[in-house]
Amino acid sequence: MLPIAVLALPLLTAAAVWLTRGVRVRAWVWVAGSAVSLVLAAVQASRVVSDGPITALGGELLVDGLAALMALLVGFLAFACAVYAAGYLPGVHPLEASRREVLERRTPMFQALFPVLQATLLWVVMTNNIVLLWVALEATTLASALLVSFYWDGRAIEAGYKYLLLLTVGITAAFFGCVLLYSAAAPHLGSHSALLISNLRNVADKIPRDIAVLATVLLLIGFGTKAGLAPFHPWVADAYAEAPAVMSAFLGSVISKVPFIGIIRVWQIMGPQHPELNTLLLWLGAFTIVVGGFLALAQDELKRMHAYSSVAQYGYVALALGTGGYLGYYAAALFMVSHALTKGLLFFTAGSVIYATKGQRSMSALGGLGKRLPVTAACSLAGALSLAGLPPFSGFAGKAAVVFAAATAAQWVPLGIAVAMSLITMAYMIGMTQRVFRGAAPAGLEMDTVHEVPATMRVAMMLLAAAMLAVGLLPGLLDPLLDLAART
Amino acid sequence: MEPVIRTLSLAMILTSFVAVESRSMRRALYAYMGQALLMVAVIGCFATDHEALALWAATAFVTKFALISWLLFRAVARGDDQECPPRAGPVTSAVVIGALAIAAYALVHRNVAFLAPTPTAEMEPYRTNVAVALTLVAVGIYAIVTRRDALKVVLGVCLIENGAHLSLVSLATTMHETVLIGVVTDVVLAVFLLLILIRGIEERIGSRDTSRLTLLRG
Repeated sequence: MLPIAVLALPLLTAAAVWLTRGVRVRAWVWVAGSAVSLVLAAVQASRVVSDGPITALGGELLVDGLAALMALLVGFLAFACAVYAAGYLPGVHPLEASRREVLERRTPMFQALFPVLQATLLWVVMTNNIVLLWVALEATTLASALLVSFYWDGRAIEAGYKYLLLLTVGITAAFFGCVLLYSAAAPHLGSHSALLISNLRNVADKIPRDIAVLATVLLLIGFGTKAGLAPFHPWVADAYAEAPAVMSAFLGSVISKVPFIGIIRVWQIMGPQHPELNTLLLWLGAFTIVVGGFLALAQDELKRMHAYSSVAQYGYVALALGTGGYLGYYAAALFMVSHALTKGLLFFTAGSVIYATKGQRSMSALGGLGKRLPVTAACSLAGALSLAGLPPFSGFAGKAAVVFAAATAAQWVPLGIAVAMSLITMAYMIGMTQRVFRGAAPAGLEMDTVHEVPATMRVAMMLLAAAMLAVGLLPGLLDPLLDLAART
Repeated sequence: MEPVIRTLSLAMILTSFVAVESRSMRRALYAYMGQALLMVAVIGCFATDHEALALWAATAFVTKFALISWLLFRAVARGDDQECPPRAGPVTSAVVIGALAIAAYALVHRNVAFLAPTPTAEMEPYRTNVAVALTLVAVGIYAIVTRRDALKVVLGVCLIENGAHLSLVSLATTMHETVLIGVVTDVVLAVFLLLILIRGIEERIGSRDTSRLTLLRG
């Protein structure tokens, strides 16, 4: 029953939000619903640690260590987003006075659709059905397309159109991969059992090599497109930059992570049988780190820089998975948790800067905001240090784990690339902090009108910063779940 | 039954060419609807071997022929019937689509063991069906790359999805219907949402021309 409750609660929250009148009341209904969802996800995680995997609906839902960890992460980030949005969404209206009516009409849709998106993410995380995994991933794209284009101006509509089109087409490759895997396993397992991912591993050695490799590569293309791995990343910058900050944070933190669930599930089945697949993933990761890192370095727009920087960080996840084995999966899971917290925080701080400066997105037009926005500046600095992999934040633990996994697997060249590109990450994050928060304000920026953002936005930022610090100082905190996730 | 399926399959490739190349959006849509009916007929033919496929044919009729066509008709009726000039003309398309069909047939017939996960899928007419499905996917991608009209791009997505649907007949005949319903529901919703966004584009730049999307940036 517990997995069904975890899945159903965001949908009930969406219905309650939709039926409630008043933007602020709706915001708090959303916060309350996401808080209960988080508690349920935490209870579920604790049950998995103490009693082992939970199944429901005749094995269609399976909550193992990886699923429990990711459901908890989705729940935590969804709660932080709901708290941030309680201040951010109503406050967006004065900034967009010319289109106030349009935004007011679209805000209830945003508030109700967001929990639906959360439910689709949880479905991806907990499904044990290989084809429904694809259906659920596509559902996350469908649920998020209108959220990406929430502002409904030219740029947002263009971003939403590209996002939906490229992801719908890209993920079709994964559909063929899922169907090939299913049909290759069906003669050995029977038609229903072959749909269940937990059964596929039992017949992995019976699937012909060519079919297995082809299906896995197709799945990598489809899920990699959804995750934003290079060279399938062209949709990322527009979508992340044009979405409202709360949506950018959700995209960069968890929506981009759930496709890795699909990759991990398939690699845990196929990787040991076909080591060349690990090599492919390892080098795709290294390539993504380089492409994303240099693109981030070249950006002037704050959210675009964070978007490309996210692409680079997804490369670390792929690289860790490509090293194979327990350590690789452990490092990938820890890095995903760390990056979700860090990038969620950085998009929140970017949204706060844009909010406080009434829409200024370009770093060259910003400066000296540290004194005006002390909480935002402190949280942004913490996020920057974490992303650069510095202690005492979670980014240090995450990157150290990836480096350790690569070193243990004796993958010295990808390891060298990962470490060198960490320096590039440090360079653009320190550059961002310097340009936005320190120094003198540029001529066009009216500092008198710049004030710290509403309390709920600050609380959400501090919540993520505290979680980042907790994972950094006490990396053993999540060890029981990470251990189970790596063994899944 | 094999000659019937072969004829229907060839007709599906021809309808995809007309859907991509017709400058009249209504005519392109009629071609798409014709393709949807042909697909229902092809699946119906396979249902003589596998009774469960009759439900798949019904699902394809409701979603591909009825729902998606209705959504597209509403979008076409609202705007200009003439397609924005494409990046490639009919001669180029005829050559490319012909080459794609030949390549798909050659690939499937020469390397069937590589692509077909079951002994059944290696035999006729299942093998030809995989080749047609691959061709439709390739034509859909060609349409997305070479058409500037956003509605034509959506038609390209629909062709890809038709190819994916058709491939299931050869590759996953025994798959449960609820899973298939999940797959087609996603497709209908994707088309629905794309059309909402295209309407937003039309309202802002007065055209469905995707090469003018940069105008949206102001």
